[in-house]
Amino acid sequence: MQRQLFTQPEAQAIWDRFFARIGAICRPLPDEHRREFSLELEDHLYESFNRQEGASEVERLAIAIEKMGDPEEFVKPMVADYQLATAGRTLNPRSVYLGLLFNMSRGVKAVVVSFLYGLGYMLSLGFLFVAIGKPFSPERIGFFAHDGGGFSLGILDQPPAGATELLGYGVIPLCIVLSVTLYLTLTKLISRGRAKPRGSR
Amino acid sequence: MSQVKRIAKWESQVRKGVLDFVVLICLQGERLYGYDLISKLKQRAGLDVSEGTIYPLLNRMAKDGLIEAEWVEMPTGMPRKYYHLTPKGRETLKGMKVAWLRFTTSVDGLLEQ
Repeated sequence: MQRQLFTQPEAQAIWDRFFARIGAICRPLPDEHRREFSLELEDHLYESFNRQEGASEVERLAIAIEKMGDPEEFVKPMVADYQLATAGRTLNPRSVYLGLLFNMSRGVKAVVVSFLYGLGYMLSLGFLFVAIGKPFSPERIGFFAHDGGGFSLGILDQPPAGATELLGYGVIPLCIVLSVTLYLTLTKLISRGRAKPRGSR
Repeated sequence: MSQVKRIAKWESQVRKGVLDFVVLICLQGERLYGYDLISKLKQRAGLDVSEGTIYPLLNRMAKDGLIEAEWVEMPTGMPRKYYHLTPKGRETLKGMKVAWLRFTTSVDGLLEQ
């Protein structure tokens, strides 16, 4: 709900735009959580505005907004924390995805960490594909021992010449266990290790 | 990196590291709302906290059970969210104070050598 707080229409427009932006970033949060967060920021910004010295409402509001900081920087980590905590509790893949995505706003290190977790989840998905695909293409999918030495697990372009498939349909439960174990482990790790929001400058 | 920048970066990291601690200190014995808390951090602790970033921190501390929040209707009609310490927050603060004294004493000891 947009409230009329200013006499200058331009100040009101700046206020509305600022909170529309925050609302957009907070979209992955539950309605109640989003509403409360927005109300708290409104209270803060309005108090800050009232304490600024400036010739006009627009100037005072601009100073208050500048002091509050970039919503991309302070809202996204909170959304990431929420989604990662939810992922740890519900194991919902959507929360995992959103948590990793929003976590990248924390900086280069977080981007690298999120990327590595993303690779881990891809691997988990890969195991699942192997388990699902095995009945459809048993000669190309499985756990192979190669003549020249070495093993491979997964989906191959061609049935490998001179390789022996070792597990048969036993690869299905194995890959399901690997996929689920990897998914659970990664999800518990990210929900526990969620980084702290940046605090001071 | 210049000496000044290096020291500023180090100081910023130290400040970030103690932010949870100083927020708990500010909340001991009184309930505060976000703006009030930031003002206290600036005035009492000299911590120039980026205003927006205090809210994700408060949110996380509430989730961890260290603080609790309650909404209070203000005369202006705007609701205001006040925070206070939970018993777990008080216990944590107690432990942090001991750890902080131990740490600062050992660093002071090094400085005096």
